[in-house]
Amino acid sequence: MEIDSERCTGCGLCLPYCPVAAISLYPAMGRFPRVASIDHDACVECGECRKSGVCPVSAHVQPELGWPRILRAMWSDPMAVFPKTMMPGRGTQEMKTNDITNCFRKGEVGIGVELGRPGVGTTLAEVEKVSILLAALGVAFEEESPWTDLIDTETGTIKDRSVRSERVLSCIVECKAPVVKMPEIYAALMEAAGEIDTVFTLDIISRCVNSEPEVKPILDEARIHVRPNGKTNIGLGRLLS
Amino acid sequence: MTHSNHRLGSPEELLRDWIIFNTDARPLDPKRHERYMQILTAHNPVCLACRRIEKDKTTRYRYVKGWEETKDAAKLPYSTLVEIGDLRDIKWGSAVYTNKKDVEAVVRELKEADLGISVVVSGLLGGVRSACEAAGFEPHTVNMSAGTYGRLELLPEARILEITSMCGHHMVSPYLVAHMAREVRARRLTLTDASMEMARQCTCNFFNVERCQELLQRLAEG
Repeated sequence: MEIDSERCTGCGLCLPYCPVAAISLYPAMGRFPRVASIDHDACVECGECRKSGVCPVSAHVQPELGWPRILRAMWSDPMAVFPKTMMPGRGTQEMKTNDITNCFRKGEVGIGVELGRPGVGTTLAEVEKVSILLAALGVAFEEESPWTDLIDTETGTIKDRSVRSERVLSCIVECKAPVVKMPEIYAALMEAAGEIDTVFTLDIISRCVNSEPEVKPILDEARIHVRPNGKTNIGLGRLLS
Repeated sequence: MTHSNHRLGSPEELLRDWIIFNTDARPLDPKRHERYMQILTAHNPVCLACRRIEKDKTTRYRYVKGWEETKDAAKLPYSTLVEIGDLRDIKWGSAVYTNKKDVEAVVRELKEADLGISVVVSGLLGGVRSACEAAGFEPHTVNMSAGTYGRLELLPEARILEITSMCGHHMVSPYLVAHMAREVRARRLTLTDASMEMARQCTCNFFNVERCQELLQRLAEG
Protein backbone atom coordinates (compact mmCIF):
# COMPACT_ATOMS: atom_id res chain seq x y z
CA MET A 1 0.00 0.00 0.00
CA GLU A 2 1.14 3.53 -0.71
CA ILE A 3 -0.13 6.91 0.42
CA ASP A 4 -0.11 9.59 -2.26
CA SER A 5 1.76 12.42 -0.48
CA GLU A 6 0.40 14.95 -2.97
CA ARG A 7 -3.16 14.12 -1.95
CA CYS A 8 -2.71 13.39 1.76
CA THR A 9 -3.84 16.24 4.01
CA GLY A 10 -2.23 14.81 7.13
CA CYS A 11 -5.55 14.50 8.97
CA GLY A 12 -4.44 11.22 10.57
CA LEU A 13 -7.88 9.60 10.34
CA CYS A 14 -6.45 6.42 8.82
CA LEU A 15 -3.87 5.76 11.54
CA PRO A 16 -6.02 3.73 13.97
CA TYR A 17 -7.44 1.57 11.16
CA CYS A 18 -4.10 -0.13 10.48
CA PRO A 19 -4.00 -3.42 12.45
CA VAL A 20 -0.20 -3.31 12.73
CA ALA A 21 0.28 0.45 13.30
CA ALA A 22 2.31 0.83 10.11
CA ILE A 23 1.03 4.34 9.32
CA SER A 24 2.58 7.45 10.90
CA LEU A 25 2.49 11.19 10.33
CA TYR A 26 5.69 12.96 9.24
CA PRO A 27 6.57 16.66 8.80
CA ALA A 28 6.13 17.80 5.21
CA MET A 29 7.18 20.82 3.17
CA GLY A 30 4.16 20.88 0.83
CA ARG A 31 0.64 22.22 1.17
CA PHE A 32 0.18 20.63 4.58
CA PRO A 33 2.58 20.66 7.54
CA ARG A 34 2.51 16.87 7.84
CA VAL A 35 1.48 13.85 5.76
CA ALA A 36 0.90 10.18 6.48
CA SER A 37 3.36 7.57 5.31
CA ILE A 38 3.50 3.78 5.51
CA ASP A 39 6.38 1.78 6.98
CA HIS A 40 6.70 -0.81 4.24
CA ASP A 41 8.58 -3.29 6.43
CA ALA A 42 5.72 -3.30 8.95
CA CYS A 43 2.85 -3.12 6.41
CA VAL A 44 1.27 -6.54 5.86
CA GLU A 45 -0.69 -5.46 2.76
CA CYS A 46 -4.08 -6.24 4.30
CA GLY A 47 -5.53 -3.20 2.52
CA GLU A 48 -7.57 -2.23 5.56
CA CYS A 49 -6.56 1.47 5.43
CA ARG A 50 -7.93 1.81 1.89
CA LYS A 51 -10.95 -0.48 2.34
CA SER A 52 -12.08 1.41 5.44
CA GLY A 53 -12.88 4.34 3.15
CA VAL A 54 -11.95 6.69 5.96
CA CYS A 55 -9.59 8.86 3.90
CA PRO A 56 -11.51 11.97 2.80
CA VAL A 57 -9.27 12.43 -0.26
CA SER A 58 -8.74 8.76 -1.26
CA ALA A 59 -4.99 9.04 -0.82
CA HIS A 60 -4.40 5.30 -0.27
CA VAL A 61 -3.26 3.62 -3.45
CA GLN A 62 -2.74 -0.10 -3.91
CA PRO A 63 0.06 -0.76 -6.41
CA GLU A 64 0.33 -4.16 -8.07
CA LEU A 65 2.30 -6.44 -5.77
CA GLY A 66 5.09 -8.55 -7.20
CA TRP A 67 6.80 -11.65 -5.82
CA PRO A 68 7.42 -12.14 -2.94
CA ARG A 69 5.54 -9.14 -1.51
CA ILE A 70 2.24 -10.54 -2.82
CA LEU A 71 2.53 -13.21 -0.11
CA ARG A 72 1.80 -10.49 2.44
CA ALA A 73 -1.63 -9.87 0.91
CA MET A 74 -2.24 -13.62 0.63
CA TRP A 75 -1.99 -14.06 4.39
CA SER A 76 -3.36 -10.70 5.48
CA ASP A 77 -6.20 -9.60 3.19
CA PRO A 78 -9.20 -11.90 3.82
CA MET A 79 -10.45 -11.26 0.29
CA ALA A 80 -7.23 -12.44 -1.36
CA VAL A 81 -7.87 -15.78 -3.06
CA PHE A 82 -5.17 -18.42 -2.90
CA PRO A 83 -4.85 -19.84 -6.44
CA LYS A 84 -4.50 -23.49 -5.41
CA THR A 85 -7.65 -23.68 -3.24
CA MET A 86 -9.53 -20.81 -4.90
CA MET A 87 -10.66 -19.91 -1.39
CA PRO A 88 -10.48 -16.49 0.23
CA GLY A 89 -8.92 -16.37 3.68
CA ARG A 90 -5.73 -17.81 5.10
CA GLY A 91 -6.51 -21.48 5.46
CA THR A 92 -8.47 -24.35 4.04
CA GLN A 93 -11.94 -25.80 4.49
CA GLU A 94 -10.43 -28.15 7.14
CA MET A 95 -13.08 -29.42 9.59
CA LYS A 96 -15.75 -27.10 8.22
CA THR A 97 -16.65 -29.71 5.59
CA ASN A 98 -15.37 -32.80 7.39
CA ASP A 99 -18.83 -34.38 7.38
CA ILE A 100 -18.53 -34.48 3.58
CA THR A 101 -14.80 -34.86 2.94
CA ASN A 102 -13.88 -37.11 5.90
CA CYS A 103 -10.51 -35.34 5.89
CA PHE A 104 -10.09 -35.94 9.63
CA ARG A 105 -10.96 -39.53 10.48
CA LYS A 106 -11.38 -41.22 13.81
CA GLY A 107 -7.95 -41.92 15.26
CA GLU A 108 -6.56 -38.70 13.80
CA VAL A 109 -6.13 -35.24 15.23
CA GLY A 110 -5.94 -32.06 13.18
CA ILE A 111 -3.54 -29.36 14.32
CA GLY A 112 -3.47 -25.72 13.33
CA VAL A 113 -0.70 -23.45 14.55
CA GLU A 114 -1.45 -19.88 13.56
CA LEU A 115 1.59 -17.64 13.90
CA GLY A 116 1.02 -13.92 14.43
CA ARG A 117 -2.52 -14.36 15.66
CA PRO A 118 -4.21 -12.47 17.23
CA GLY A 119 -3.17 -9.29 15.48
CA VAL A 120 0.56 -9.25 16.19
CA GLY A 121 1.78 -10.38 12.77
CA THR A 122 4.74 -12.54 11.89
CA THR A 123 7.51 -13.03 9.39
CA LEU A 124 7.43 -16.24 7.40
CA ALA A 125 10.78 -17.11 8.98
CA GLU A 126 8.99 -17.51 12.34
CA VAL A 127 6.37 -19.73 10.71
CA GLU A 128 9.16 -21.85 9.30
CA LYS A 129 10.47 -22.57 12.81
CA VAL A 130 7.19 -24.24 13.73
CA SER A 131 6.96 -25.94 10.38
CA ILE A 132 10.40 -27.54 10.80
CA LEU A 133 9.49 -28.66 14.31
CA LEU A 134 6.25 -30.30 13.12
CA ALA A 135 7.96 -31.97 10.15
CA ALA A 136 10.48 -33.54 12.52
CA LEU A 137 7.58 -34.98 14.51
CA GLY A 138 6.31 -36.72 11.38
CA VAL A 139 3.01 -34.90 10.90
CA ALA A 140 1.18 -34.90 7.56
CA PHE A 141 0.91 -31.34 6.25
CA GLU A 142 -2.43 -30.32 4.76
CA GLU A 143 -1.89 -30.41 1.00
CA GLU A 144 -4.41 -27.67 0.21
CA SER A 145 -2.93 -25.19 2.68
CA PRO A 146 -1.19 -22.09 1.27
CA TRP A 147 1.68 -22.66 3.71
CA THR A 148 2.26 -26.25 2.53
CA ASP A 149 2.66 -24.91 -0.99
CA LEU A 150 5.70 -22.94 0.15
CA ILE A 151 7.62 -25.72 1.91
CA ASP A 152 9.45 -28.98 1.46
CA THR A 153 7.04 -31.21 3.39
CA GLU A 154 9.84 -33.62 4.41
CA THR A 155 11.77 -30.94 6.30
CA GLY A 156 9.22 -28.14 6.78
CA THR A 157 11.68 -25.61 5.31
CA ILE A 158 10.68 -22.87 2.89
CA LYS A 159 11.72 -23.76 -0.66
CA ASP A 160 12.22 -20.18 -1.88
CA ARG A 161 14.51 -18.55 0.69
CA SER A 162 13.73 -15.05 -0.63
CA VAL A 163 10.30 -15.08 1.04
CA ARG A 164 11.44 -15.63 4.63
CA SER A 165 11.46 -11.97 5.62
CA GLU A 166 7.97 -11.27 4.30
CA ARG A 167 5.66 -10.08 7.05
CA VAL A 168 2.01 -11.19 7.26
CA LEU A 169 -0.86 -10.64 9.68
CA SER A 170 -1.05 -14.36 10.46
CA CYS A 171 -0.14 -17.64 8.81
CA ILE A 172 -1.50 -21.08 9.64
CA VAL A 173 0.47 -24.30 9.55
CA GLU A 174 -2.15 -27.03 9.10
CA CYS A 175 -1.40 -30.72 9.58
CA LYS A 176 -2.69 -33.91 11.09
CA ALA A 177 -1.26 -36.78 13.10
CA PRO A 178 -2.38 -39.92 14.95
CA VAL A 179 -4.44 -38.86 17.96
CA VAL A 180 -1.98 -40.48 20.41
CA LYS A 181 0.80 -38.11 19.25
CA MET A 182 -1.01 -34.99 20.46
CA PRO A 183 0.79 -34.76 23.86
CA GLU A 184 4.21 -35.07 22.18
CA ILE A 185 3.33 -32.38 19.61
CA TYR A 186 1.93 -30.09 22.29
CA ALA A 187 5.04 -30.47 24.46
CA ALA A 188 7.31 -29.66 21.51
CA LEU A 189 5.27 -26.54 20.67
CA MET A 190 5.37 -25.35 24.28
CA GLU A 191 9.14 -25.78 24.33
CA ALA A 192 9.49 -23.82 21.09
CA ALA A 193 7.17 -21.02 22.29
CA GLY A 194 10.04 -19.25 24.03
CA GLU A 195 12.01 -19.07 20.80
CA ILE A 196 9.24 -17.72 18.58
CA ASP A 197 9.43 -13.96 18.01
CA THR A 198 5.65 -13.51 17.89
CA VAL A 199 2.52 -15.11 19.33
CA PHE A 200 0.71 -18.17 18.06
CA THR A 201 -2.65 -19.81 18.66
CA LEU A 202 -3.16 -23.54 18.71
CA ASP A 203 -6.15 -25.40 17.23
CA ILE A 204 -6.93 -29.04 17.88
CA ILE A 205 -9.42 -30.79 15.61
CA SER A 206 -11.07 -34.04 16.57
CA ARG A 207 -13.93 -36.23 15.41
CA CYS A 208 -16.68 -36.68 17.98
CA VAL A 209 -17.47 -39.98 19.64
CA ASN A 210 -20.70 -40.00 21.68
CA SER A 211 -20.86 -36.21 21.18
CA GLU A 212 -17.41 -35.65 22.79
CA PRO A 213 -14.11 -34.99 20.98
CA GLU A 214 -12.31 -38.31 20.57
CA VAL A 215 -9.04 -36.66 21.69
CA LYS A 216 -10.50 -35.29 24.95
CA PRO A 217 -9.33 -38.11 27.31
CA ILE A 218 -5.81 -37.75 25.89
CA LEU A 219 -5.89 -33.98 26.38
CA ASP A 220 -7.18 -34.40 29.93
CA GLU A 221 -4.48 -36.91 30.82
CA ALA A 222 -1.75 -34.67 29.37
CA ARG A 223 -3.29 -31.62 31.09
CA ILE A 224 -3.74 -29.79 27.81
CA HIS A 225 -6.30 -27.10 28.46
CA VAL A 226 -8.77 -26.05 25.78
CA ARG A 227 -11.06 -23.04 25.89
CA PRO A 228 -14.82 -23.60 26.39
CA ASN A 229 -15.67 -22.20 22.96
CA GLY A 230 -14.67 -23.35 19.51
CA LYS A 231 -16.09 -24.52 16.23
CA THR A 232 -18.38 -27.51 15.75
CA ASN A 233 -19.19 -29.08 12.42
CA ILE A 234 -22.63 -30.33 13.40
CA GLY A 235 -22.67 -33.05 10.74
CA LEU A 236 -25.57 -32.11 8.49
CA GLY A 237 -23.57 -32.46 5.24
CA ARG A 238 -23.82 -35.64 3.22
CA LEU A 239 -20.71 -37.68 2.51
CA LEU A 240 -19.55 -37.64 -1.10
CA SER A 241 -19.31 -41.10 -2.62
CA MET B 1 -8.78 -22.27 9.51
CA THR B 2 -9.31 -20.44 12.76
CA HIS B 3 -11.70 -17.75 11.63
CA SER B 4 -14.11 -17.91 14.59
CA ASN B 5 -12.23 -20.26 16.88
CA HIS B 6 -10.54 -17.86 19.27
CA ARG B 7 -13.20 -15.38 20.37
CA LEU B 8 -12.22 -14.31 23.85
CA GLY B 9 -14.48 -13.71 26.84
CA SER B 10 -15.85 -15.39 29.92
CA PRO B 11 -18.28 -18.31 29.46
CA GLU B 12 -21.07 -15.99 30.68
CA GLU B 13 -20.25 -13.45 27.97
CA LEU B 14 -19.87 -16.13 25.31
CA LEU B 15 -23.44 -17.21 26.03
CA ARG B 16 -24.30 -14.15 23.93
CA ASP B 17 -21.95 -14.92 21.06
CA TRP B 18 -22.78 -17.62 18.51
CA ILE B 19 -22.05 -17.88 14.79
CA ILE B 20 -23.59 -20.26 12.28
CA PHE B 21 -22.15 -20.58 8.78
CA ASN B 22 -21.65 -23.03 5.96
CA THR B 23 -18.79 -24.00 3.68
CA ASP B 24 -19.43 -26.36 0.83
CA ALA B 25 -17.37 -29.17 -0.57
CA ARG B 26 -20.18 -30.37 -2.82
CA PRO B 27 -21.83 -29.11 -5.99
CA LEU B 28 -23.81 -25.96 -5.40
CA ASP B 29 -27.57 -26.18 -4.99
CA PRO B 30 -29.03 -22.64 -4.80
CA LYS B 31 -32.49 -23.88 -3.77
CA ARG B 32 -31.13 -25.62 -0.69
CA HIS B 33 -29.05 -22.59 0.17
CA GLU B 34 -32.09 -20.33 -0.12
CA ARG B 35 -33.91 -22.48 2.42
CA TYR B 36 -30.79 -22.49 4.62
CA MET B 37 -30.65 -18.69 4.48
CA GLN B 38 -34.36 -18.38 5.29
CA ILE B 39 -33.80 -20.44 8.44
CA LEU B 40 -30.82 -18.30 9.51
CA THR B 41 -32.82 -15.12 8.88
CA ALA B 42 -35.87 -16.22 10.87
CA HIS B 43 -34.27 -16.41 14.32
CA ASN B 44 -33.17 -12.91 15.33
CA PRO B 45 -29.62 -12.68 13.97
CA VAL B 46 -27.67 -9.57 14.96
CA CYS B 47 -25.45 -9.93 11.88
CA LEU B 48 -26.04 -11.77 8.66
CA ALA B 49 -24.02 -12.19 5.48
CA CYS B 50 -24.46 -14.09 2.28
CA ARG B 51 -23.03 -14.39 -1.19
CA ARG B 52 -25.27 -14.53 -4.20
CA ILE B 53 -24.39 -15.72 -7.69
CA GLU B 54 -25.43 -13.19 -10.29
CA LYS B 55 -24.57 -14.39 -13.79
CA ASP B 56 -20.80 -14.87 -13.69
CA LYS B 57 -20.08 -12.85 -10.56
CA THR B 58 -20.67 -13.19 -6.85
CA THR B 59 -22.18 -10.33 -4.83
CA ARG B 60 -21.98 -10.07 -1.06
CA TYR B 61 -24.92 -8.92 1.05
CA ARG B 62 -24.68 -7.88 4.70
CA TYR B 63 -27.04 -7.03 7.52
CA VAL B 64 -26.08 -5.63 10.92
CA LYS B 65 -28.73 -5.01 13.55
CA GLY B 66 -29.26 -1.32 14.19
CA TRP B 67 -27.44 -0.06 11.09
CA GLU B 68 -30.45 2.07 10.11
CA GLU B 69 -30.00 4.10 13.31
CA THR B 70 -26.40 5.13 12.65
CA LYS B 71 -25.53 8.59 11.49
CA ASP B 72 -24.12 7.40 8.16
CA ALA B 73 -26.81 4.76 7.51
CA ALA B 74 -27.47 5.90 3.95
CA LYS B 75 -23.80 5.43 3.01
CA LEU B 76 -23.44 1.96 4.54
CA PRO B 77 -23.59 -1.06 2.24
CA TYR B 78 -26.16 -2.97 4.30
CA SER B 79 -29.44 -4.68 3.43
CA THR B 80 -32.48 -5.37 5.60
CA LEU B 81 -33.31 -8.87 6.88
CA VAL B 82 -36.34 -8.94 4.59
CA GLU B 83 -34.22 -8.08 1.54
CA ILE B 84 -31.74 -10.85 2.35
CA GLY B 85 -34.52 -13.33 3.11
CA ASP B 86 -35.95 -12.70 -0.38
CA LEU B 87 -32.65 -13.29 -2.23
CA ARG B 88 -32.33 -16.17 -4.69
CA ASP B 89 -29.26 -18.02 -6.02
CA ILE B 90 -27.41 -17.93 -2.71
CA LYS B 91 -24.25 -19.95 -2.26
CA TRP B 92 -22.93 -19.09 1.22
CA GLY B 93 -24.39 -17.61 4.36
CA SER B 94 -23.56 -16.81 7.96
CA ALA B 95 -25.35 -15.37 10.96
CA VAL B 96 -24.44 -14.18 14.46
CA TYR B 97 -26.82 -14.75 17.37
CA THR B 98 -26.87 -13.54 20.95
CA ASN B 99 -29.37 -16.02 22.37
CA LYS B 100 -28.80 -19.74 22.76
CA LYS B 101 -32.51 -20.47 22.24
CA ASP B 102 -32.26 -18.94 18.75
CA VAL B 103 -29.26 -21.16 17.99
CA GLU B 104 -31.17 -24.22 19.18
CA ALA B 105 -34.11 -23.29 16.93
CA VAL B 106 -31.83 -22.83 13.89
CA VAL B 107 -30.09 -26.17 14.51
CA ARG B 108 -33.43 -27.95 14.92
CA GLU B 109 -34.88 -26.45 11.74
CA LEU B 110 -31.73 -27.16 9.72
CA LYS B 111 -31.90 -30.79 10.83
CA GLU B 112 -35.57 -31.02 9.89
CA ALA B 113 -34.95 -29.36 6.51
CA ASP B 114 -32.32 -32.04 5.69
CA LEU B 115 -30.46 -29.84 3.20
CA GLY B 116 -27.23 -31.86 3.09
CA ILE B 117 -25.16 -28.69 3.62
CA SER B 118 -22.13 -28.69 5.93
CA VAL B 119 -22.94 -26.34 8.79
CA VAL B 120 -20.55 -25.07 11.45
CA VAL B 121 -21.65 -23.54 14.75
CA SER B 122 -19.08 -21.48 16.64
CA GLY B 123 -19.57 -20.85 20.33
CA LEU B 124 -19.56 -22.66 23.65
CA LEU B 125 -18.88 -26.28 22.74
CA GLY B 126 -21.21 -27.63 25.44
CA GLY B 127 -24.02 -25.40 24.21
CA VAL B 128 -23.62 -26.55 20.62
CA ARG B 129 -23.49 -30.17 21.72
CA SER B 130 -26.73 -29.81 23.71
CA ALA B 131 -28.42 -28.02 20.78
CA CYS B 132 -27.55 -30.96 18.52
CA GLU B 133 -28.67 -33.53 21.06
CA ALA B 134 -31.96 -31.67 21.61
CA ALA B 135 -32.53 -31.91 17.84
CA GLY B 136 -31.83 -35.65 17.96
CA PHE B 137 -28.30 -36.01 16.61
CA GLU B 138 -24.63 -35.88 17.61
CA PRO B 139 -22.09 -33.32 16.37
CA HIS B 140 -19.51 -34.57 13.87
CA THR B 141 -16.17 -32.78 14.40
CA VAL B 142 -14.88 -30.04 16.68
CA ASN B 143 -12.07 -27.52 16.38
CA MET B 144 -10.90 -26.52 19.85
CA SER B 145 -8.87 -23.49 20.80
CA ALA B 146 -5.92 -24.56 22.93
CA GLY B 147 -4.83 -21.01 23.69
CA THR B 148 -2.24 -18.42 22.71
CA TYR B 149 1.51 -18.77 23.32
CA GLY B 150 4.81 -17.07 22.58
CA ARG B 151 5.47 -13.37 23.17
CA LEU B 152 2.22 -12.58 24.95
CA GLU B 153 3.58 -9.17 25.98
CA LEU B 154 2.99 -8.06 22.37
CA LEU B 155 -0.77 -8.49 22.73
CA PRO B 156 -3.12 -5.61 23.50
CA GLU B 157 -4.99 -5.67 26.81
CA ALA B 158 -7.60 -8.39 27.27
CA ARG B 159 -10.58 -6.00 27.14
CA ILE B 160 -9.50 -4.86 23.67
CA LEU B 161 -8.79 -8.42 22.53
CA GLU B 162 -12.33 -9.42 23.45
CA ILE B 163 -13.50 -6.97 20.80
CA THR B 164 -10.84 -7.51 18.13
CA SER B 165 -11.10 -11.32 18.32
CA MET B 166 -14.71 -11.07 17.13
CA CYS B 167 -13.23 -10.43 13.67
CA GLY B 168 -11.34 -13.65 12.98
CA HIS B 169 -9.19 -12.07 10.29
CA HIS B 170 -8.26 -9.29 12.71
CA MET B 171 -9.44 -6.49 10.45
CA VAL B 172 -10.69 -4.60 13.50
CA SER B 173 -7.51 -2.96 14.70
CA PRO B 174 -6.80 -2.70 18.46
CA TYR B 175 -5.88 0.96 17.83
CA LEU B 176 -9.32 1.53 16.31
CA VAL B 177 -10.97 -0.01 19.40
CA ALA B 178 -8.98 2.31 21.68
CA HIS B 179 -9.79 5.27 19.43
CA MET B 180 -13.52 4.44 19.43
CA ALA B 181 -13.52 4.09 23.23
CA ARG B 182 -12.02 7.60 23.47
CA GLU B 183 -14.62 8.97 21.04
CA VAL B 184 -17.46 7.43 23.07
CA ARG B 185 -15.97 8.72 26.33
CA ALA B 186 -15.78 12.23 24.85
CA ARG B 187 -19.38 11.88 23.60
CA ARG B 188 -18.30 12.50 20.01
CA LEU B 189 -19.75 9.12 18.98
CA THR B 190 -22.61 7.01 20.32
CA LEU B 191 -21.99 3.38 21.28
CA THR B 192 -24.05 2.33 18.27
CA ASP B 193 -22.07 4.46 15.81
CA ALA B 194 -18.72 3.39 17.25
CA SER B 195 -19.64 -0.32 17.24
CA MET B 196 -21.00 -0.07 13.72
CA GLU B 197 -17.78 1.55 12.53
CA MET B 198 -15.84 -1.43 13.87
CA ALA B 199 -18.35 -3.96 12.51
CA ARG B 200 -17.95 -2.37 9.09
CA GLN B 201 -14.30 -3.43 8.98
CA CYS B 202 -15.11 -7.14 9.46
CA THR B 203 -15.23 -8.47 5.91
CA CYS B 204 -17.04 -11.69 6.86
CA ASN B 205 -19.61 -9.93 9.07
CA PHE B 206 -18.92 -12.25 12.01
CA PHE B 207 -18.44 -9.26 14.32
CA ASN B 208 -21.08 -9.35 17.07
CA VAL B 209 -22.15 -5.72 17.10
CA GLU B 210 -24.46 -6.13 20.09
CA ARG B 211 -21.77 -7.68 22.30
CA CYS B 212 -19.35 -5.04 21.05
CA GLN B 213 -21.54 -2.29 22.43
CA GLU B 214 -21.47 -3.83 25.91
CA LEU B 215 -17.70 -4.35 25.81
CA LEU B 216 -17.05 -0.89 24.41
CA GLN B 217 -19.19 0.76 27.05
CA ARG B 218 -17.09 -0.88 29.77
CA LEU B 219 -13.91 0.15 27.99
CA ALA B 220 -15.10 3.74 27.61
CA GLU B 221 -16.02 3.89 31.28
CA GLY B 222 -12.44 2.92 32.10
